[in-house]
Amino acid sequence: MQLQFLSDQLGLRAEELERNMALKKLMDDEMWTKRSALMMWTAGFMRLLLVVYAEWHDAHLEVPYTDIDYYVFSDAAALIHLGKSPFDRATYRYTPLLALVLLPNSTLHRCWGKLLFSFADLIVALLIRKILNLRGVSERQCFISAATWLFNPFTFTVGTRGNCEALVCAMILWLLLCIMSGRVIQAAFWFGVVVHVRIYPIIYVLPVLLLLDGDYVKMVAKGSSNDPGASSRLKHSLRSFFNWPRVVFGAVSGSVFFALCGLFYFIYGTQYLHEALFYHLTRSDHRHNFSIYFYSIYLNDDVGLTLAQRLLAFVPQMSVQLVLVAFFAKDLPFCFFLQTVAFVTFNKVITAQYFVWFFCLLPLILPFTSLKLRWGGAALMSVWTGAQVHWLGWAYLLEFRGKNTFLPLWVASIVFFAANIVVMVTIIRHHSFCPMFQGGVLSYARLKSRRIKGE
Amino acid sequence: MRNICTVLVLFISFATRISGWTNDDRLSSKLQGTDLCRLSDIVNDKEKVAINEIQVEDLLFSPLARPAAAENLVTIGPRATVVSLQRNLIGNGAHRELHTDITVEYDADQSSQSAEDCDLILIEKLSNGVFADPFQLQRLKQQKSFKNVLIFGDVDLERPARSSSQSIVVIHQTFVEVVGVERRQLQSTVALPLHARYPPSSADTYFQLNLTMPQVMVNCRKTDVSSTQHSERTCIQPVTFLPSQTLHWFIPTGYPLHSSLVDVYTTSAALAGVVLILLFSNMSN
Repeated sequence: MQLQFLSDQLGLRAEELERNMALKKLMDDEMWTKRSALMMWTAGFMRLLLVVYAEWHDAHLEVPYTDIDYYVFSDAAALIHLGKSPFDRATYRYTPLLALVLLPNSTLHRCWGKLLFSFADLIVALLIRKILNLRGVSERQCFISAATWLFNPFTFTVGTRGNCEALVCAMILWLLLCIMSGRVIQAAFWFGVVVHVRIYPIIYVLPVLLLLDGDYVKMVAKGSSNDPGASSRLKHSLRSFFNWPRVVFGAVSGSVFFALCGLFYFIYGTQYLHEALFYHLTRSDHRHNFSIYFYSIYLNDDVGLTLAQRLLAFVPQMSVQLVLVAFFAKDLPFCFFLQTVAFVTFNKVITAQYFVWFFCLLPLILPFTSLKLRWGGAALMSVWTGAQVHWLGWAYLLEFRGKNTFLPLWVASIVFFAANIVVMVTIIRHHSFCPMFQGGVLSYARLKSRRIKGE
Repeated sequence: MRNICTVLVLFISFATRISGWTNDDRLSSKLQGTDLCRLSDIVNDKEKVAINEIQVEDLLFSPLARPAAAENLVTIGPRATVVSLQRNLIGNGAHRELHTDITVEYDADQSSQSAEDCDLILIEKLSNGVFADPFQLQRLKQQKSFKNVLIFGDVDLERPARSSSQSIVVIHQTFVEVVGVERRQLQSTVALPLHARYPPSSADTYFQLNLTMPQVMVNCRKTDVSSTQHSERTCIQPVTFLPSQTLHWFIPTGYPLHSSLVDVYTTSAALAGVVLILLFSNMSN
């Protein structure tokens, strides 16, 4: 009887303990939510300060803070305001949508664009939180993840210097959120828009299509109509690949993309196609940049690259994308992140603003990695930034001291490539693979229960 | 009749000047100042037109297309002589500044009672291996480093030298009176920022870029003090030049013999990267 009494007491205690822990978690969550709000305000204020500082810097110092691209966008917007084509502005190689969005640069104030991009930064942070919430991540983890985006030096300098990458990142995260919530049509719409704005997100079409499988259909069907016959009709056959989410996604995103391109082709003619589309597809920069291909392109500049050489540059990129999609498509944010890092690493030209493309996806995978900042994460960050700094040293000697450092610079770009590969494989090794949908349910439910029990 | 003679003389002068740019750095002029006035008219009008729209040929031959506007031009005044001309290329690496320091002796027209205000017009001819950035120059103009600046020709910064062509930069700069000399002397300094393009790969590993002498003109405005509304202009060209000072700029180039090595190892690195990612992705699953 005493044992029974004891076990009863222990049972009560266990319940109490669980209740207390749940309460503590709620209070913790509330504290972290408040801190997140404070962090957003701080980040916003910091960006505002930087925009103001940029104005002063450009007026007084010789080397401008603002990127040349921002002047290009502004000039193109001014041209549209005058009713002309934005492509009359040399080196404007973007969609006219961007110039339209920046019209207030000519009508209101020239800083409108920078403020818009900084605001997009904050939107990205909000979307990161929403996506992680859906995946059942604790508020503290959401805070840390959002901080790695908001206070990443690449992020706030790129936005306040006037590059539009934050807009693209916001669109990608939004469409990710739509897919997670079962809103296929909206996701497809934004996918068409984002591929029209920047070509590179086309690499995401493969994992998205793979993700929209039977599990997904079941999940969406659960929310809408009840069709018990659906699961039995979903046989594993080639025909079942073309289920309705895939068809809808492909059709809607394709139509949106071609509609936008068609519209601007109709307005601006072949100049739009050449400048905004073909240029990016055939771009190869002989000037020194982080890519391992730059020296090859420069040395072969007089004869041009043979077909074999072009293929040799394209095949690794294609292969690595297929490999990553084949293994990781079901964990969509992780797949997006790896694909983006791989795309940038294997690309024929790499500039620092491309890094923002995967910095917006990094916060989404941080809660799922077993890498700690001390010392795995710190080591990884040092390897990556160290390789960059090493490259920058040789590039400085070449460009600003006039020394012939082409060969060491090329070796440095191979070293940077290797550093990127090391980062990728380390993250792959330490990642807890968590498919988004399992058995027709957004797998957060499982994750949530695991976490409450675990803590 | 006078107009035809003027036009003919102008044509001959420009024809000789083209050859002068390629062969002879010494300038000689049999022209009257009025003809060069037209050139600076055109140069001043061009600022209303967007940069890069004008081809180099326009600068050379458009005076022929324009009818003589003789109302506010006066006949030639005395000549100006170059006392000293110093050229320097400041900086290292791919971005340098071309400094021109010029002192001109100018015999003012003592006959009329009028004030004079002189500007320097410098015409730099740039080969395909180097270019000037229009936006940088516009910013410098706003910061009052130049009175005016125009670029004609190829300002593309993305293509290598091999696929680019020449350009011409025209700079207007104010003159400063030199004190403590017997005859009237005017001095001016121009700093033109230039950027190198990628030269073709060569076994020499450095490419020698030559910056030749500019063409120098003095543009003086006489304001007739007796009548405040009517202002006349005279253009005078310096006749004598100091011996040519061609500046040399050494730009690093790629080394062609590296080509096969670079191709092989670049491709190997890329393929090794793919294999590693494949292996680790497989292991994690």
